[in-house]
Amino acid sequence: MIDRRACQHLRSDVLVIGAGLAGLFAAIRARQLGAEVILVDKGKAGKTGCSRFASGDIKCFIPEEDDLADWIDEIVVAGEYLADQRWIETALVESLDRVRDMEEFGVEFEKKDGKYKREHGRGRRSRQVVFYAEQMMDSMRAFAERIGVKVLDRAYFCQLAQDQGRVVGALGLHTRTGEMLVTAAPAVVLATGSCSLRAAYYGHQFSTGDAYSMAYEVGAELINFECTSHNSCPARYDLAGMSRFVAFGGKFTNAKGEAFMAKYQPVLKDRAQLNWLVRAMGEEVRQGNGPIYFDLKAMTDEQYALSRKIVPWVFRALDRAGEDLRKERIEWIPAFAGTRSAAAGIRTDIDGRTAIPGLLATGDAGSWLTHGFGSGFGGLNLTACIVFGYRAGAAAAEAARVGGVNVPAAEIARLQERVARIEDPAGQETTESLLLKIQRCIVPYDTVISREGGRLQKALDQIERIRDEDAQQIHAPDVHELIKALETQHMLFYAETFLRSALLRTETRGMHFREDFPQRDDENWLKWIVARKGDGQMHLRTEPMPPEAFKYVPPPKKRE
Amino acid sequence: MIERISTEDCIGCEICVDVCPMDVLRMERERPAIKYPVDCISCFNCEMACPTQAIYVNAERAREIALPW
Repeated sequence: MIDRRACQHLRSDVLVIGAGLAGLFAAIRARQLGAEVILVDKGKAGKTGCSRFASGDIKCFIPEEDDLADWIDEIVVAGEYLADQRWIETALVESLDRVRDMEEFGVEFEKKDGKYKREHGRGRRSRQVVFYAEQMMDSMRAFAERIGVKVLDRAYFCQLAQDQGRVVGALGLHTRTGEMLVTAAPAVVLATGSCSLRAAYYGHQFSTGDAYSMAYEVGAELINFECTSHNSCPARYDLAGMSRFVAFGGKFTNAKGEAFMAKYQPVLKDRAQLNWLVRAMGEEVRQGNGPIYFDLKAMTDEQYALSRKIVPWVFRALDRAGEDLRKERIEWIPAFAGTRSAAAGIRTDIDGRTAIPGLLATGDAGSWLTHGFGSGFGGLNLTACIVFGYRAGAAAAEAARVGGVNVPAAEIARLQERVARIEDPAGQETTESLLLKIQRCIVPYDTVISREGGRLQKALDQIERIRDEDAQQIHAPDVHELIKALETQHMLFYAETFLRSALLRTETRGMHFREDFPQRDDENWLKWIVARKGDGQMHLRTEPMPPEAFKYVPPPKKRE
Repeated sequence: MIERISTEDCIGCEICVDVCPMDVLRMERERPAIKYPVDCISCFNCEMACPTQAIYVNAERAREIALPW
């Protein structure tokens, strides 16, 4: 195989892969500590990633005003006790300093009388500061470049380089020219965000879980992959931000027009946590009462005008689609979010270090042990990005002190071979076809929301067959498709890891609902599930949570 | 999905190609072409960034996706 692809060699102290909020924070911090930093993104840094399309909240703890134990308790209970409470404490205690850092970087927060304006969002006790995502990301990127972080756009990194067990850099491709990019760096920070399989919803389809595969291949551990998350959205349009209009009398109704949430959640009804909402929707469909709708016809003129002001982009999209929410209810579905805002991720310590020398992970690519088995906390995700991104940057700068490293030639050959296989014209499988097959194994209600051992195993059998047959036939006719093929391979890996982890946890907790094990089992399951590569296949094990993880709230009493 | 880019209004500044997170747009003969429409996620980056409002994005999904039921 002759490789005619041009190859650019780069060198740095720290390489950060992924320029979302966590990656930017890590790059800035490492740079401030004197490291040479290269920050790469497969899109244009600042214009992509879930951070760019985030709703605009960061949970921010102010010691003079707030009760730390109270906030921690709320988060621990929402996560059903699987969180590491030391991480929650750190995230909250350091949140204000990081928010102030962001102001120095040029990020504008909503203020009132010179103080941060804070709102409650979905938390009843905790509160979050409000910002605008586009302004936040633009100013963070500008600041990073101003202090000398080298930013490389359209640089898709897909393979870590290893030399005698140590990570010594990474390799990738320019997403438009296909030029190979080889970067030697003694410290690599993976910050590529989550994996949501390009399912429904707004502003997430670039999140293909690239770091999970990369970390797994070099022997790092993955943790809590049975944890997933859902949003909800219109069946036909990828829009975010509408479910807040439950506050304006919006109701979820079934095909018969019944507002069914009262049956499942008599107190909270349509304001129930998303876990409960998506399960209620699915149960209604199972009983033959589908499809499900979001009915906003009861909004007053005043509420309607206000809602158009709050989310003008949503109404612009609906106007263009010819949808008038005052006349017709809109069909509604759960939107699979995968690892987005969920605990699942690359296992690290609280400073982002994996067990592999030279390798760190942060942001949604890392494990958010703050979250336990909950999600949708409103603002906690971005708090985790800034607090742990900063820490990972500092740890990376320190790790880089080992000095110069080189990427072995064998690593370059390995990527060339992977690319050549995808470019082989004999392959018959397109990236679109492969993605749809993967989605169909995971997204259905009966697989990912209402879980059951037999169905999970069947899905895993299908994913293994796709891995061993269909995926081997993938073909990319140009560089754009080549990048998509690599991303799709990473999504396939995520699907497999999710299914194996979900099969192993034989209890129900949070969003992990098992029909065959419908009770929470604190006797046997105050444990985390860890996946690792060994002998050419995936090994899973359970680890009891360390006692120190229950720093504030003790573990729930075990059943007699 | 991105529906159209008005050739009358487009000034060839390339900003849309630069800000697309999904590499949908590429310059061809000094004008942006919708080269990979199936990858459009209706993020509206291009429409919002265009200095002459030459771009129109609608909310229709560009690719078939698996649904929960």
